[in-house]
Parts: sequence; structure tokens; C-alpha cells
Amino acid sequence: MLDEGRYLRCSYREFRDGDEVAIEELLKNSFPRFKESNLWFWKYKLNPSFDPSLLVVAEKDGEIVGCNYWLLRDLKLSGNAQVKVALGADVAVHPKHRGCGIGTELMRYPRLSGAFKEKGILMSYMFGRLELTKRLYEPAAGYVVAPNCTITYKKLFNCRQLKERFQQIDQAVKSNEETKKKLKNLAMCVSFKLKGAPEFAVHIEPARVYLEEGEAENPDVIIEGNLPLSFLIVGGTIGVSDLVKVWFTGKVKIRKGLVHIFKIRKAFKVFQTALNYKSQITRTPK
Amino acid sequence: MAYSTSEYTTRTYIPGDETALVLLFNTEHANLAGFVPRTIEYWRWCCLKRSDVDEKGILVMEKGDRTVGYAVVGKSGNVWELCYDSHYDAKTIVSTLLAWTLRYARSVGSDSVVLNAYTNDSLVREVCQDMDFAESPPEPMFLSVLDLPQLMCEILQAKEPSLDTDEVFWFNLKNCPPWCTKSFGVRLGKNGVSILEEPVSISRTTIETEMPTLVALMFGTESVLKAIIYSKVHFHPFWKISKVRKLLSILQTKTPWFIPRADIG
Repeated sequence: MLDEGRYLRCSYREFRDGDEVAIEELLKNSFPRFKESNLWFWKYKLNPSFDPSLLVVAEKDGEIVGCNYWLLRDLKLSGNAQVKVALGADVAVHPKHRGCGIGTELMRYPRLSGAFKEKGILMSYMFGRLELTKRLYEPAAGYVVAPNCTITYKKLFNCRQLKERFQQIDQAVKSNEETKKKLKNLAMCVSFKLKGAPEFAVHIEPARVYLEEGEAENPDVIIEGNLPLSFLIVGGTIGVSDLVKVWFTGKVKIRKGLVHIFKIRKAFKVFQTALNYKSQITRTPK
Repeated sequence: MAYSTSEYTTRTYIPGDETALVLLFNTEHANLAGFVPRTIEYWRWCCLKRSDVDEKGILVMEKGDRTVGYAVVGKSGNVWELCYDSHYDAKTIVSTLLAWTLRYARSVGSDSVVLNAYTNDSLVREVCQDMDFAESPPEPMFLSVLDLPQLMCEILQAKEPSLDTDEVFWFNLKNCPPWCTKSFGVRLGKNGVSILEEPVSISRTTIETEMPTLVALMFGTESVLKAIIYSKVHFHPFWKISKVRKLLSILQTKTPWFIPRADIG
């Protein structure tokens, strides 16, 4: 049952006029893409099938601290089968209240309140992260991984976003003595020649880390490969076994300095830890 | 069919193009699933009115009076929709649309171009490879069934199954979320498909399984035979194995799923 609409001192209800500003603010703080002008207005209010009963908010002490929106639509299932579905979008919870089960309750609310049933919605679908399937999506709302024959093609014109990321890494490294120590033995220059992206090099020095667009003069390592896989290496989210696997299968080629492969992995792991540490410091309320 | 590039003309969107674009999209995606069939109202919202899209970011390609392709490109570099008429020189159409997309994205200051395509569309793959695009899997998608009996009914009615006799299958589901029906029946016969809420006295086949298994079976991420062999699906009487297998196979939607970027929201 709905637990009388209350869970962890939050109350849950459908959208009502006057909530707009608070929801937009919450979304802008949760998803950078909502900082784009008019995205909220387009996605919610301009949507021809916008239905206030499919926009759920979580309230704590009169303040909106979470929201979840469902876009009502017809989805094709096969030849003649077309059914009414709801696309779950923008589950946003205020950073102060994350990890308290608000997201779970937001996902469950329209299922339990009967809002979906009233509208004849037979299925719900959403996009998310695979690692959350067992931890959140399946226990909260019975989500299973959907079949998908879609492929994404990407081409980068410049390294602006990557450069920004490495500037963040550099700041994180500079502000942490522990990280500097760890990077002392990992100094090197890694050149990336990736499909779908301009050439760039990452310079790792004990005191700083930076990305340089173009060909490096004398790199210690040259990595060639597909853009997404190499991004996993850059992001430090690829495991050692994955790294060896992609290298063995030829998806990533190391043209020079093969011996450095674990050193690279270690360096990027250090970056990731430094970034996580910095974001934790930033998030901690005073 | 080969046509020279000179037979095709390109121009940016003008009001009134919607009907032809929507018709082309729905025709070309008729054999795929997972997308929202376009209506003019939906297309206007998901493409034209999107805050990221300018009318100058929609390129329409024509051969004579016929619309043979179009691309909707946002200022972010997202290709929200790219569609071509496969009866014409598709390679020329896709190459022209993508070359224009790259030029347009650069001109509006995008850092990248991102396009979703159907995995088995070898033509788009070939053109993207020629243009040095990198491939990556799409954002993972998840689905949850809210009204399983009704969903089964819709699928079975659409497929018009032909089981030899009147047959009642009674489902007992475990690991079922509270908003789902745990027990229900499906009656298949000459008069079509019906859902039963109460057990009937006539002979029936009882199928017991976990809800996630059944959903995975229905959407083709789990094989029917494997589920039976590995005892993920229990049923009795056992001699109805072929009918159970047939029912579960009919319930499987094997149509490949394609999600255009415009549908992601």
C-alpha cells in the first residue's frame, strides 16, 4: 500500500499549479541539461500529452525535494501491437535528501495510486544505468532490461569537454597532497588517437595534469581505439580485466609503451578518486 | 535503384512539410518496435518545438515532388531524427544528410554530433564509418509491466494465434510487484483471446513462474526453451509442454527495438 502517502517524513502528491518554479529549479540542480533555456517548458508544459497526474513530487516541510515525470505515449511493440506506455523521466532528488528512498517512492507512486491504471497504461519504460538494475530499478518498480537494437554513432569536433574534465582533475589533484604523492611515480604522456575524435594527449606530472589537443611530441604511450572504450579508460571506470580484454580483442591498440598499461590504469584511478573526494567535500553541508 | 545526386534537391524545413515527414518515418520504421509512431502533433513536439531545434536545423531531401529523406539536428549536435526512403538511392541520401549534419553542427558551435540508428542498418553504419564516426552502445533501457493480463491480450490479439483447440492457461506469478495481478487466466480459442480473472472449471494448463522471467520471455531477452529446460517456468500437466511452448513463443515480441533520439525526451 501507499504508506498513507508518507515515507521518511516526505509526502508525495501529484503536480499542481504553482509547483513549476520549484520543479524547474530542482531539475536544473540535478541535470545540467535543464540549464538550457526552455527545456523544462518544452518537455513538460508544451508536451501535447502532459498530464499533471503523471508528474509526482516529494515534499518535505512544504518544500519540493524530489520529482518524477512520466511522458504518456503510444509505443509500437510489434507488427500490429501498439500499447499505451509511460516513459519515466527525470527522477530528481535534492542532494541533501538522496539515499533516503525518495527516488524509489517517486517511482512507485503512480503505480500504487492507480494513476497509471486509470489511463490504461500497460507498461512503463525508462533509460538508466545497468548497475542500478538489481539495486534500484527492479526492487523499486519491477524494471527489467529491455531489448534494444539501437546503436549510437558519435563524432567529436574538438576536445573542449574532455579539456574541462581534465581541468577539474587538475584542480582536484592540486588540492590533495595524497594524490600528488600517488602520481609521483606515474608521470608520463599518453597520446590518444581515437576513432571519431581529434588527436589529444594527456600529460601526467606530479604537480599537474593537463590535456593537450593535437599530436604529442614524444609520448610514452600511444593508445588507438574506439571512442567510447577509450573514454572508459580516460574516465577510470574500466577494470583491469576489461582493459586486458579490449587490448586482446584489438578494440584498443597500444602502439608504444605496452608496459605502461597498468600504470595508466592506476593513474586514471587516482584521478577518479581525487574527483570523487573533491565532489564529496563540495557536497558536505557546512 | 541508382540515381545521380543531381536528381535530388535539398532544402530546410518549411511549414507544411510535417505530413510527408511523418508518413516517411512511419513507413520506414514499420518493421521495427520500441519507438513512438509519429502523429503530426507528436512530431511537431518532439522535433520542431524542441528548444534545441531551429527550423534551419531540419534538412529535407526531395526527388521531384517526393520527400525521400530528412534530418532533424539540434544546436547540441544531437541528430534527433534521421530518416530515408529505402526505395531510392539510400546511400546518396544518407551521405548527403550526414554531411550536411556535420556542417550544420559545426556552424552552430556544437562540440560533437550524436546519432541513433538501428543496429542492422548497414547503410547508415557504412556511411558513419566512412565519415569517421565512433560506435557505442545506446543508453540502457528498462521496462516494467503494469497490467500483464491486458498486455498479453494486446499482444495475442495482434498476432491472432491459432492454437488447435479452446485452451485455458492459468498463470500463477511469483515475485510480483504489488500493483500487478498475481493470478489470471488467458483463454485462447476460435472466438479470439479473453482474460479470465477467476479460475474456470474446465481443464486448464497452469503455468508458474516469476514475473521478471515472464517479462524477459515476452520481450525476447530470455529464450523460451532455456526457461523451460532450466525450470524457470513450471507447468502442469506436463504433457501440455508443446502448447505452453507455443503460447510463450507467440507472446514473444521478436521485432527489433529501435529508439530514435527524439523519443528519449
